Amino acid sequence: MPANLQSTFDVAQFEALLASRNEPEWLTSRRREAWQAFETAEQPDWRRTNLKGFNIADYTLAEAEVSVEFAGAEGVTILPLAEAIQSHAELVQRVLGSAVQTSRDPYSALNNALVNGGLFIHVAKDVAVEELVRIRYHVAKAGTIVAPRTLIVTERHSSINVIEEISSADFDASAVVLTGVEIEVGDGGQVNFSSVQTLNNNVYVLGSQQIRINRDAQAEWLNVVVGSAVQHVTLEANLSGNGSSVNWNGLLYGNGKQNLLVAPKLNHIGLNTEGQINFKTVVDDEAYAVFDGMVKIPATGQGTNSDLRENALHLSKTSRSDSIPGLEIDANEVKAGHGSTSGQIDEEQLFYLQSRGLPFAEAKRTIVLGFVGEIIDMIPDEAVRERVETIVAEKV
Amino acid sequence: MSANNLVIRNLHVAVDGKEILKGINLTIEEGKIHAIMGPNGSGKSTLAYTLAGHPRYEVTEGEVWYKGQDVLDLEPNDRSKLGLFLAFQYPVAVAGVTVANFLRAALNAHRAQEGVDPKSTAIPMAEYRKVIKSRMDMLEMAPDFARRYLNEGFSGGEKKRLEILQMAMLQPSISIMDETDSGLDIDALKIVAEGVNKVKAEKPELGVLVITHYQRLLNYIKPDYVHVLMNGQIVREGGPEMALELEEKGYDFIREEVFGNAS
Ligand SMILES: Nc1ncnc2c1ncn2[C@@H]1O[C@H](COP(=O)(O)OP(=O)(O)OP(=O)(O)O)[C@@H](O)[C@H]1O
Ligand SMILES: [Mg+2]
Repeated sequence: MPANLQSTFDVAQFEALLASRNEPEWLTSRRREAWQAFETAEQPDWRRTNLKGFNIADYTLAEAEVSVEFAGAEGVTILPLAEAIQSHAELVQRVLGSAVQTSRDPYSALNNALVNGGLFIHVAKDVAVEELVRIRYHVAKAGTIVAPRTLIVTERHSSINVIEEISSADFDASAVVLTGVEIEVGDGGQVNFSSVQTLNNNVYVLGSQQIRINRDAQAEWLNVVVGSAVQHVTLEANLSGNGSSVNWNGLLYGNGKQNLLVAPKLNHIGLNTEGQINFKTVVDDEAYAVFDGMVKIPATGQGTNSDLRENALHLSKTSRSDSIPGLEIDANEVKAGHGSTSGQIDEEQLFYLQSRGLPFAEAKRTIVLGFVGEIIDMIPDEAVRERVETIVAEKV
Repeated sequence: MSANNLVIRNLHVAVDGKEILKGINLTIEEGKIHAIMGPNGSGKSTLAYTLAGHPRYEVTEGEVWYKGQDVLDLEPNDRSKLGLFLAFQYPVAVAGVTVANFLRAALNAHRAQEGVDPKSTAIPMAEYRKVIKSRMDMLEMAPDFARRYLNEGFSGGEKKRLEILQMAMLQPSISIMDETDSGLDIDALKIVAEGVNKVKAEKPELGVLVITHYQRLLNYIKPDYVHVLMNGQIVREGGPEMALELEEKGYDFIREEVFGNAS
């Protein structure tokens, strides 16, 4: 039953946020617009995201703890978003809101009204950054709502690797993260972006990520989701430039009562673009995971080469996963493949490992860890990878 | 009779309700090499899988004893720990699990003892590296093999070689080799056969059951006994000379003798 969201979140908190920031007029008016959209909206009609019992009025606005590890390099600017709003106004104005769109749904609107932290990364042209930029947003306290946003803009022929982890302390009550990642890859450049979500199992995550990839540019994109109570995150790769490409991998691992959704959308807008999606899903106990995918090849996308793979593994009778691999093609000279599988652990694999002496439980564990390991091994930061491995090891 | 013989008595096995093995009597003797030959679909793999404990094969009658244990009562992993090994006709690929990690897990499972911290029985890493390296050298396998995922993208011959590597690592006392020779070129066949013979030389009590269609393998792994399986039953038994006879004459003459007419 959709309920009106009006005044479910304390307007005083919103006004206090505005008052505390000396922001340019364009941003203030965007925030007010977004607030208005949120306030007048109804609860979204999400069939695959369980918001029962979720009431945004229960949370107090706070900032996520932000940490950045990066030695620094010539031509690379990393700033708190609040500073970049002043110093890089034009870029921020262009990119902010590209993923998190006020019109998308009420929580995207709220996200744009409340965005109150995050980072801006800029790479000057012709700069190739070797060192991994490590970002972490940490939710310290239950009962809070945080809205950090990551903006990355690279100029032409430059490259950078960034990992962003969203984590939390181990509290028992819930909290809310409104996430947003907005990336623009300059002509001929490359961005490798890994997003890893390791929140505790009481947190709600709502948000969007988008990478716009310009002419002859490339992106490596990784989305690993092992935490939270409920996640609803839309993902969008826009292959806007001719000859652009994305290699996109992901993992959802849900157990207990987790309800994890990603909605990856791959838009082949330019000529001769290439995109590969490879996501894996594991569900156990009563978890419910959703891969709501879409590959779009508009009439402009001649010469597209696209491939979408999604494999789901069910470890319990009561777990569920939905895979919706959509495909919309309006160009005629394209290659587009997709395949998805879903099933239980393969009996032949189990028997094979058992026949070598592994007890049933260990054989099962080995197969599951192998299945997810292919994706987890892609996490470029060892500490984050180990955290994910620990979480997964506890789940299996 | 030695308890270290594997004794199969009147074994009946059904798959999906259809009887495939119809009363097998066979003793694999300690330290001996037995060959089983028989036409396609006669039940050779069914026998192999049943001995290893594949859940799809339902034993409807009969018994299997080894080292004083009722084998059919044991889980597949416990059969492995008891010393039984099956080299699969069709080895299974497992993505994301490297050969090296898997073999270490398998070795450690064999070394584990009930009620003892598995860490204390686990093979030390340095020792493990030495063992796997020497075994891979013996089978002329390139080192990067160990880092590959289990059978994932392996050629037919590579898969068979990996089966024998596993056997060499686990040092079973009964090894069932289900068409290990198929898919191997002549050179690989020699290497694999020599590998088996070396394992056997190190462990003379090893009993081997070789399932094959070809005399070729038996030139390298010399059987003490040859059994012919047809229609779910062992219809002939003899010495190594029988393999030659079968190669020459095919199965029809036996079929005629046993079942009366060539079908
Ligand atoms: N899952 C199954 N369902 C039905 N029949 C099966 C199944 N598995 C095996 N069979 C049948 O059992 C019979 C014996 O098969 P098995 O694999 O044991 O033969 P084999 O002697 O090993 O043959 P090959 O020489 O071709 O390897 C065959 O007729 C086969 O079709
Ligand atoms: Mg067979």
